[in-house]
Amino acid sequence: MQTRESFAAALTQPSTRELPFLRPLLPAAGCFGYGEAYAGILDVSLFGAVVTRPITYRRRMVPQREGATVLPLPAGCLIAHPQTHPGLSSVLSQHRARWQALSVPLICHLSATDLEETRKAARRLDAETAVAALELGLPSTHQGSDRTRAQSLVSAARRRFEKPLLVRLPLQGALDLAPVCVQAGADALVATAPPQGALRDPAYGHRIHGDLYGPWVKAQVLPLVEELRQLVPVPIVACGGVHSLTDVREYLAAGAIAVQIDSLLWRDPAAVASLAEEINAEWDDPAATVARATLTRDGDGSTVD
Amino acid sequence: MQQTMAFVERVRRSGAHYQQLSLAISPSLKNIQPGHSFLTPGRNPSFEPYLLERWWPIHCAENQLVVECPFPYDSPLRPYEPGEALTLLGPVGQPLPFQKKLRHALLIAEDCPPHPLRLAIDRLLARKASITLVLLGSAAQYDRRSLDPRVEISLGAPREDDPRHWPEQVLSVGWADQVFITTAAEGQRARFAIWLRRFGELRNGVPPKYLWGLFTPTWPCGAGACGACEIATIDGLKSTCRQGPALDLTRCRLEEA
Ligand code: FES
Repeated sequence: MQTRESFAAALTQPSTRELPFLRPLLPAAGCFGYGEAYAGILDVSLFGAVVTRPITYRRRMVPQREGATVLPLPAGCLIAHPQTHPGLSSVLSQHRARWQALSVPLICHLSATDLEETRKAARRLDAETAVAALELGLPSTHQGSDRTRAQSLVSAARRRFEKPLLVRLPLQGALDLAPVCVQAGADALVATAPPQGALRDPAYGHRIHGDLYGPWVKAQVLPLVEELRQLVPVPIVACGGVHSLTDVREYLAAGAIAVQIDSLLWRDPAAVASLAEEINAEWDDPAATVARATLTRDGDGSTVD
Repeated sequence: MQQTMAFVERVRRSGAHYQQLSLAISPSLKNIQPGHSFLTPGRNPSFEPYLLERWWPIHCAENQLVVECPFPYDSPLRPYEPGEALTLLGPVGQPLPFQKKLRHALLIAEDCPPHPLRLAIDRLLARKASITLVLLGSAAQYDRRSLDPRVEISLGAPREDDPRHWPEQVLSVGWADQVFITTAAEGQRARFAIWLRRFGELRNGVPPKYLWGLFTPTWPCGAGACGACEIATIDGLKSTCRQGPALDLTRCRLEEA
């Protein structure tokens, strides 16, 4: 039978792949560095886990085009992340010791680039004792979803990674990809990666593609979380546009087992701390509305026994 | 880095485009150094504008900070007023890496106000170093009345073969122990690539730790969290907010610009 404790203690499907997970908020990949960025400002124990920046297996030094990588939007911004990555080995040697000392589980976000790299990275990360789970980021595309590719990437990671595997879906095509990812072995889904957009660089005139952030992203992701909850039998972690306690509550009420915070971390880390304290207090309260609401929704037994 | 409250104590107009704010800051903000900056949502607790403003301290004393920020002539925002409370995220970045025995500093601002260099002027003068400040392009419009009279100021005198020329350029370059350059954020890597080449010609090679570029792209987080501000260097990727703003231009991979 499902209990409140077991619900809170498991992020994933009933299996050996359980992740102790005692807080409903997590930082989103790409918004919290490798876990070190807000040391001294934010206590990581406010979160259920720490999610790292996207990591690629190989080091990448793609020539950067001159021009802006960050552009303002009304109540938000666009960020074109430079396609440069230090590579998994360098990240591990730099951050492993800190990860081992974390008071909460560490979820490594791996950018699913190609099959071979995904395989190698998953195997390497599985052997890392500091890594509690993997969040596989599927590529976001403007062309819609590629189900075959998503399935192979998730399977590749699944076969090499014994611990819990979360898959972060792109916003475009999330409903299409979700069943495929679950079939391929995802233990939980993260909905979703930031929406993609493009703006013209005012200084250079060229178009910049990137991730969109802002409070309005929630309006795109919230209905998706509800739909995914009905569609697939795995827990959903919501991600996108959280800027208030109401946002977190709405995501949890929509059936999300946890909620990732993205750009609010950059804009106002203190607001994230107070939001986490409040939601944690509700979560810890045996009579909590949030927890009760979620348990009721999970009456179909799709989360844990 | 911390997130603290600050209170506007005094407001002064500074030239046509800026207002100078004296801020009472938290006593926990100790040891603010040249190179440090602060991010703030300004007075706007809502999310428009969303990106944080960056403020460079131009003076700082115990529990007090003076910054210059744009005077909002052409925006619906009203100027700051004494008594207003603000949130500050910072200090962001690393102190400028002055040599221990720095006697002669050459500071250059190109097409931007010399704000990131202002606190350096204070500190270097206190160390009895001599300073030449070169203001090029639109930087020449900066209101120089607020600058210490001990600073030698040179204005750009562009030549056809050298748009970044200033009078006595060869002399001031030869005499400088270290050079710090701030430029407009647009095309910054390309600008620094040109500066590196130019100094190579003027000095017959640029020694390490001599020529520093202050990288100032937009910083969404200022904490090394988002990765939007990274620059490729010979030593790997550096986030300009966390490991900068000053980076040794001889170590930067500016050819990728
Ligand atoms: S501004 Fe976010 S990493 Fe530098």
